[in-house]
Amino acid sequence: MNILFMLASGLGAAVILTVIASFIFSQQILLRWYHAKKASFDDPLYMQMLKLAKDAGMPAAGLYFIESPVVNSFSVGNRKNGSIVLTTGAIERLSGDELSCMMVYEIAHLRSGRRLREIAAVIAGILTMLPIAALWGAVFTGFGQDYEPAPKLIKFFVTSLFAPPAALLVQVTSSESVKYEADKYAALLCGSDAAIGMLLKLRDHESWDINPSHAPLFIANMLSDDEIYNTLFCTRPSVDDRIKRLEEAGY
Amino acid sequence: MRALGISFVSYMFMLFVIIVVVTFHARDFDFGRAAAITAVYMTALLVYFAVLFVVFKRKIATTVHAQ
Repeated sequence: MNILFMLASGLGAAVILTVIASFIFSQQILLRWYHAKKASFDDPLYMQMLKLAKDAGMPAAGLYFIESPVVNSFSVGNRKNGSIVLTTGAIERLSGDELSCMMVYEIAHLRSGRRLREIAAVIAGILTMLPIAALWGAVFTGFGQDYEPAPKLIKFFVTSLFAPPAALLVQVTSSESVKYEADKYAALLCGSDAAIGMLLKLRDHESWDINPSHAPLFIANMLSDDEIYNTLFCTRPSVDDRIKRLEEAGY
Repeated sequence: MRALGISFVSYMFMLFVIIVVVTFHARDFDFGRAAAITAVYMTALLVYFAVLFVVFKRKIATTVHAQ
């Protein structure tokens, strides 16, 4: 019984430490998770972001880039200490207006000051990493190579245990209205044509193999529906609904 | 909802593991104790899955566009 008690205490302490670390370091954890590189102060995009932040009445946020061919972005932090992250694919494939629109969308998210979704994303992200840890644990304890059925089955079993609570955490903390508001704000500042153009490019793009718990942080969901558990992480509104709403509003 | 069905089966398997561990620890199979564990576990599991079902039904986006 002593061993069980020690195990339970260790697990409890690990959970409490994870939650505290997520509350304090969520921004840094997410930036490091995606190997985000900070833009230099003389970068034209940084200058553009400063102008857009000023127009929105916001203090300057940090601008980061991540190497990925897909068109996407996310923001972390709050009004005073925020960071906007763009993929290199977004910089290459979006027009100037569409890229401005994407940055305004993220600025609007920082304006709302809701850090809860990124804290939830970090905690849920750790939960969704556990199946990968289980897979490698199975490999190193002699269940076979990572492409063989036994480790894959163990990974699937652990996923089936941890994906629902991770998805629940993510779904409860994600807000449909904040996304609509951010779309509206982007359309008002950059024009609805640019906003709709950006959303169309997001909709028609290929999937991106990210941690599913982080998907709601991004401007558009890039998870493929090949993995059965990815569907649990698809938060509303869909890109189609967002386009439809912008078209109806005609900002 | 297929994902939730598979998860339910996995959580049921965990109940089996718990009963096996408790039985090995006590070195005796006690039907009453196993039934009590099952009743408590299943009640908690049903409440948990009811919450999951309601939240996911309300909040999951129905369209996925990534290819």
